[in-house]
Amino acid sequence: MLHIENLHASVDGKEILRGINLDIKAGETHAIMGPNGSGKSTLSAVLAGNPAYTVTSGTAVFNGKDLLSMKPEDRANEGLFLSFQYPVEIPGVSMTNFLKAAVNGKRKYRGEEPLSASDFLKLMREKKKIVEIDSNLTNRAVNEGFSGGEKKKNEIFQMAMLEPCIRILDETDSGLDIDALRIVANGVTKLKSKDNATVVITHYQRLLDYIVPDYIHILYHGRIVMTGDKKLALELEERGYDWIKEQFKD
Amino acid sequence: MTEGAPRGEYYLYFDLAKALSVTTEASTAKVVLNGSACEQSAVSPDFTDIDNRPADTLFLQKLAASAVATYADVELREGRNELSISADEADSPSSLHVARLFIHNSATASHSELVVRINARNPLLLETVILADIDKKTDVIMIQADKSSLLLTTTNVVSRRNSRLTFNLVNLSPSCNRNEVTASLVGENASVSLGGLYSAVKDCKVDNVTTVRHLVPNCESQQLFKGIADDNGNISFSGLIVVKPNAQKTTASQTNRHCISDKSAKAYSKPQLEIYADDVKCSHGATTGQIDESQLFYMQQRGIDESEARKLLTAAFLSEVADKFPMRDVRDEVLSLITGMDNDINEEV
Ligand SMILES: Nc1ncnc2c1ncn2[C@@H]1O[C@H](COP(=O)(O)OP(=O)(O)OP(=O)(O)O)[C@@H](O)[C@H]1O
Ligand SMILES: [Mg+2]
Repeated sequence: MLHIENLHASVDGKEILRGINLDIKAGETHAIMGPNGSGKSTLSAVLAGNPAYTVTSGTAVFNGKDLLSMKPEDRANEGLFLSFQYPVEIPGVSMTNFLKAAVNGKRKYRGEEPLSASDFLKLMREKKKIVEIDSNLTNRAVNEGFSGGEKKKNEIFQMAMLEPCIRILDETDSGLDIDALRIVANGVTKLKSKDNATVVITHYQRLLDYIVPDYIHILYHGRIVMTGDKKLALELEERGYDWIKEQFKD
Repeated sequence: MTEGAPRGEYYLYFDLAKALSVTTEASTAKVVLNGSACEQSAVSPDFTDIDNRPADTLFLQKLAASAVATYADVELREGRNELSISADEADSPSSLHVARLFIHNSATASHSELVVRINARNPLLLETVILADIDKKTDVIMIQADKSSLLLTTTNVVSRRNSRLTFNLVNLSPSCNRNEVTASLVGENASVSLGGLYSAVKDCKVDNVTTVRHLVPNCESQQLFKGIADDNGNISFSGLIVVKPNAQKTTASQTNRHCISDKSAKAYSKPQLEIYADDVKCSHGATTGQIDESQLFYMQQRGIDESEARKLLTAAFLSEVADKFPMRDVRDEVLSLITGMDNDINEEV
């Protein structure tokens, strides 16, 4: 589904990603862990097409297409979804108008008619249940004044609305209380299928109890330095990152 | 108002044939309200403390030979009133039309709303006097959204004792505009709220010049002007608040925010205060910013294409002004003009 080879990227002339290789197949769940500042969010931003980052070399092929040459909106409409580590507030744009534009943006991309108002509302009502998101959030402006946890919940709600095929979740667990974590993680699992793939970026084993990964990658200093199965998270929980840093210092 | 006319609908139409006769014989100028001609009525009420500065005097002189003038006495009834101004003869694109409106409440109306829609393919100078009369509440909004070539508006607001007036201007047309608004608070406990919502694209220019004159004590004025410039567009706001020596306990505020969404666009802002009284609360603020790249990217990540996302963000920026429109339906209409989308699905979801 997504094949990344030797991906290098920089921001403001500083190289952050220094050769990422990753192969993600439909139905799989990959976890990416790694110390602060190692480049996890940068990787997700580059895949989503954030213009602040420059790809200096490497390739990423998404469902047979050259991902890196596509506009951000086209990547999204091809099915790439990023749950942001820090979701942006957009005062003055209502959740409803925003989601309607997003849902219909995707339909237009596929050559489909826009949803009627009533079908759209029905879809919204149905998806709201999955993440148990409150109406007084969805009736507000996008993320405006939402608490940290509410923003994360809202990301997963949007994911449910858009039904992407690759779901990149950047620290979706941070800021969620214990119950919200369970609800959100269960939402992600419920929406999982053999046709989609999930990339979870996290610092904690806790989330991986709910979203069980097939692979865990450790990203350090712009490279994936180690790949293991779910047991690797437990080891990290116990030992921290010092032994990795020691082993892979340049 | 003409007898037998449908209530609450004013239609002011510039007919070229009639208009030409107007230039030669100005005293027979005709205004068509509701499809029936009305007598010309007095336009310049004699308020001793109004500065009657004409806008762009030079321009007027230059085009005076082909200028066409129409006068209308617009008496507002209670509730909603609609007025359309159209100057769009295709065969005579250069002649300047001058419309003068005298807008005032009828004796029986305590709260009147007026929506003025301007569709002027010919250059139009619109001179308006709004009298906010004693104890009356008046909401006026002028919308220019169709294709217009050049629109100059001069609005003189005179606020008498205990009057409440809101006056909002909407310029979303790809054309050149200049709006001059002068509000004179001449009676105590009057309040005036001025709003402007404008955009300038493709070499267009929108200038706003406001003067709010506090002449007596205990009045309140507010101004909120927000504009967006794109693709060589040029926007400006110049606002002066004058508080005369005896206008104690004045509260006056002025806010101007501009958004530039393209490097070729320009925005200017010039707030000025002239305060001669000591017991007043006056504030002003002006900012110029840009479309937030992280908001834009967030929207694109959700599959909204860039131009659509920009439209939504523009509407969001300008909505602060529209949100203050007392007429809710006009707010929705204006916001959907900006986004090209229907507004909020208002149902609880
Ligand atoms: N816009 C930017 N300008 C300058 N430096 C940046 C920018 N974005 C990221 N960086 C730097 O790139 C490095 C990687 O950042 P990134 O956000 O990808 O880390 P991360 O692995 O997601 O960390 P965390 O676990 O704290 O979220 C950091 O050193 C960061 O300071
Ligand atoms: Mg991060």
